[in-house]
Amino acid sequence: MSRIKEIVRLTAQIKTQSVSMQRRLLLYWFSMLLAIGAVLVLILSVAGVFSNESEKAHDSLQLQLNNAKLEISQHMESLEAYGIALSEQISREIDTTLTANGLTVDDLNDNPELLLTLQKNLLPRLHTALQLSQCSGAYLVLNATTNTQSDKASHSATGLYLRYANQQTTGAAKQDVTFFRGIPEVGRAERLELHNRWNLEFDTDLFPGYYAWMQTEVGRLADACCWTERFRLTDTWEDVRLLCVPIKDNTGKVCGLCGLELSSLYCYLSYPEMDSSFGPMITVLAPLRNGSLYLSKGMTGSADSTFLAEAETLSVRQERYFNVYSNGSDSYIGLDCEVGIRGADGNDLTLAVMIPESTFDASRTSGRVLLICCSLALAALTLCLSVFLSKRFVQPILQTIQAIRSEKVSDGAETGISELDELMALVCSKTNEKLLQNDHALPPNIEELFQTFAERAKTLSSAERAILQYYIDGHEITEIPELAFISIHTVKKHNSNIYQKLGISSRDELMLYIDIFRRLGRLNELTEPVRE
Amino acid sequence: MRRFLSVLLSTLLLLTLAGCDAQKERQPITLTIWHVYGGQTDSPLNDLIEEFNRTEGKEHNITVKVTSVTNTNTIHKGVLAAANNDPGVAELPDMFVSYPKTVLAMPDETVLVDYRDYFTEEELSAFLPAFLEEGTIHDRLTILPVAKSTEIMFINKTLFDRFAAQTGAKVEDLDTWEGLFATAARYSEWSGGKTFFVHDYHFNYFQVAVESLGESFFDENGIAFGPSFSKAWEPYADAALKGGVWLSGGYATEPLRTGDAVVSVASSASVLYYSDLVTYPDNTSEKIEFIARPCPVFEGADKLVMQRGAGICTVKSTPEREKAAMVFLKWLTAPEQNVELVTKLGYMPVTQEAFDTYLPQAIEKLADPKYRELYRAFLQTQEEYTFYTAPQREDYLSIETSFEDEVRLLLSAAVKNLSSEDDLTAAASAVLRQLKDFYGR
Repeated sequence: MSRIKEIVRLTAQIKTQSVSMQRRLLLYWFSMLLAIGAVLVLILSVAGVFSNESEKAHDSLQLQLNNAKLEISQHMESLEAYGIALSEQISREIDTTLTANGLTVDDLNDNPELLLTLQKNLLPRLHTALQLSQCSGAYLVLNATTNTQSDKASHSATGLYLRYANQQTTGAAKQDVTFFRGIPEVGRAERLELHNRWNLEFDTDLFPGYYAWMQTEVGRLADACCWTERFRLTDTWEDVRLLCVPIKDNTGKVCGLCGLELSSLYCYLSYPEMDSSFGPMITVLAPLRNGSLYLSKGMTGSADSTFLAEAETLSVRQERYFNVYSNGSDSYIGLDCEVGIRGADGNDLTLAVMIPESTFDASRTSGRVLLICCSLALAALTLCLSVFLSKRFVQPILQTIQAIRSEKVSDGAETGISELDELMALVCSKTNEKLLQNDHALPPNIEELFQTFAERAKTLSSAERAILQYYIDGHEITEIPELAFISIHTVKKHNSNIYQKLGISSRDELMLYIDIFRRLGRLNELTEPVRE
Repeated sequence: MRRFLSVLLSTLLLLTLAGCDAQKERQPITLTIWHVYGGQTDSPLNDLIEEFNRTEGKEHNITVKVTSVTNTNTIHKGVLAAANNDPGVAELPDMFVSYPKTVLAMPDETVLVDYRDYFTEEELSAFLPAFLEEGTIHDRLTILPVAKSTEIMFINKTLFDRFAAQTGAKVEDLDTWEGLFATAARYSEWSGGKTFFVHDYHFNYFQVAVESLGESFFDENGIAFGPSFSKAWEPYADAALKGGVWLSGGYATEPLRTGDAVVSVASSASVLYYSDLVTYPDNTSEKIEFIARPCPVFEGADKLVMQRGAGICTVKSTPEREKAAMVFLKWLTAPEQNVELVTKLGYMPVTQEAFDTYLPQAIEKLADPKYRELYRAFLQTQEEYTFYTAPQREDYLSIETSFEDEVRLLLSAAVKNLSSEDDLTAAASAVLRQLKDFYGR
């Protein structure tokens, strides 16, 4: 309480202190410009310039997520459509070939000639599916083997597998196709190069879910097709996901699988990272289970500007505006949603769009630093401008004061400010008057005499003063009774008192004093009313 | 006050810029590469790149991303299509593996970095001069040697022994072209028309054979077709017409994997693609033994062998990206890494130090008998042969491509139309005439 009182006291003291005009003006200018700055900030705020960075990041992520979802959904749907069409074509081809030979699917076993014919007929269809689809490979595998007596017959199945040799996403026209699985004669007839790790048949032990598929009863193909998890294609350097569409024989039983391949490289090339004001945006398509996003089982678009590795598992934490995905050392902010792409376990895959948290934080910090710098710059500019303007404003006044101090005031001097010019004129006249007075100065003893006389005049009563005024005004004694409505005796009595108080003895002496005071311009000293 | 404000603002500005720089520094530079070291298989270079990304790359914030592992022919087509801005092709990567023929065929080779701008004279002096010379095109070092190979003969010893046991053929017969083609013809008869020999590049066979016989393979108009060409043609065409030479396309490793051929002459680097298992059409597999020998020569001819092995080109981009690429390439060609790479791929290193200090130890440690065989033959070749480097001609690639296609096509057609009564020598001469006609000679 005492402290507050002290502050109030100090404030009051400051108020009573004299403050220079420049300081006051500086304060006014500064306040005014700050007010303008505040209004500017307000307008920018309303315009959304200073809105919440997290909210803006959320909006950017949401927009990218929506776009990616649309793109990926369309891509996957088209692949599934091609896969289903391929399965139907293969079923028809098998049916036609077998019926023509009076055989069933089981008769494909140990029948290399029939398999050769069938593969020759199927290769163009598979090749077409590969070229029409946006994918990295196409395959078909039939539940039969060339030689049931071979050592590997129990896990070997005939089929065809074509893969692009040079992966591109821009079109299939210029891409070389390699013959990964199948009878070499079939590939050579089409001038297809054998893959460096070619094999005659598929190793079904290495094909995810193959045996389960062969035991599955399938209704509609569209309901049955799904994607495998990501796995390393044996002996190659690439990870892939395979679209699995069952192939049905003429009894409706599953006799094989076909589909299309999406390699990790294809996804890398197909879904490039997007630039945003918060850093690079990465697209990820992976299973989300128990709060973890399994990139190792999914596919990742390019993440060239980040340290995200494809084989990671990211824990997911929900926050107000977005999720935070973390691998322990690096974190990413992002949003995710399901895209209706069925994985082998029956669960949908999750599409996530992410930005490195480090770049987001850096972007946010740099925004703040920029704002602070701008604010400080504005304040500094305001201050400088205020100092400049107030100085400019006060300069003529200071010059005038200086001129007055140095007694160099001239009558014709102009400052450009009318009030100051008027003040200068007044000071000039007063100075002249003073100088004039100084020119007519009386000797000290005479001056003392007049001062004494003036002092004595102040002792006169009001009536006596009125009589004195008549004398000053030039009236004769005989005129006064009529003017003052008093008798001549009373006038004489006042006269007597006036003479006594003024220390004079005659009217002539009085009139002499009056005349001298008039000449000196000091009559007012005799007529000034007495301060009671 | 003004001074205070200016100091304050300058400090804030500097802090902001420093913050931006720190952020920039943390963001990795990702370089893309198309290479051939591993084809579609598990790639030793990919493993080495992963090691780089984990160590040196991480230190310098550089990540190398492999976006294609294929063969030089595919890369060649991709590079030329990208360099010509063909519709529907991918952009050039930051680095790609290339032979000089690809660079010579590019519409503007100045899009490639001149390594002399980034390697000091001292650094370049570590490389074998002949390799640098091969990578210098129009006075610019645009192809950095990374690994060099030569042509080596690979023999499926298991199949050959089976054939030799019944026919008395000897492996030594294969040391000369005359012997090899005679054996091929014999094998074809013995096996009922099966192929014996496959060559990666028929064009290379003729080129080296003619040069080794003391003639120039090229003249100002293209292939010279001199007497030495005819000498090289006769045994080759005879064996081919008898079905002993592989005339289909593709690399030499293909028919050896399927048991359709027994002997190949191919790049030493093809060792990676040979499988110890041969799979036959009835889906049975057989484990086989491979042996390697130096490339055959004509009797009495110079021992000349084609030097192969592409190098890495770097596409001009920004100084930061180019510098990052140099960090990677300097790491890759450092003797230790270089020897580790080449001995997994069947190549030779590119620096003298790697040859002298690291290679002998690395060869001793090789566990795979196929690789031990290869390096034995490799060292023998180095000791006994002279390496031949293809000339840098603008039309080299077009001649090579058309020759490969035409020779295979003409001979295949001749084989198809050949009857048992036809004279093989006359048929071979007829095909040669057709070939010369094709080139207007």
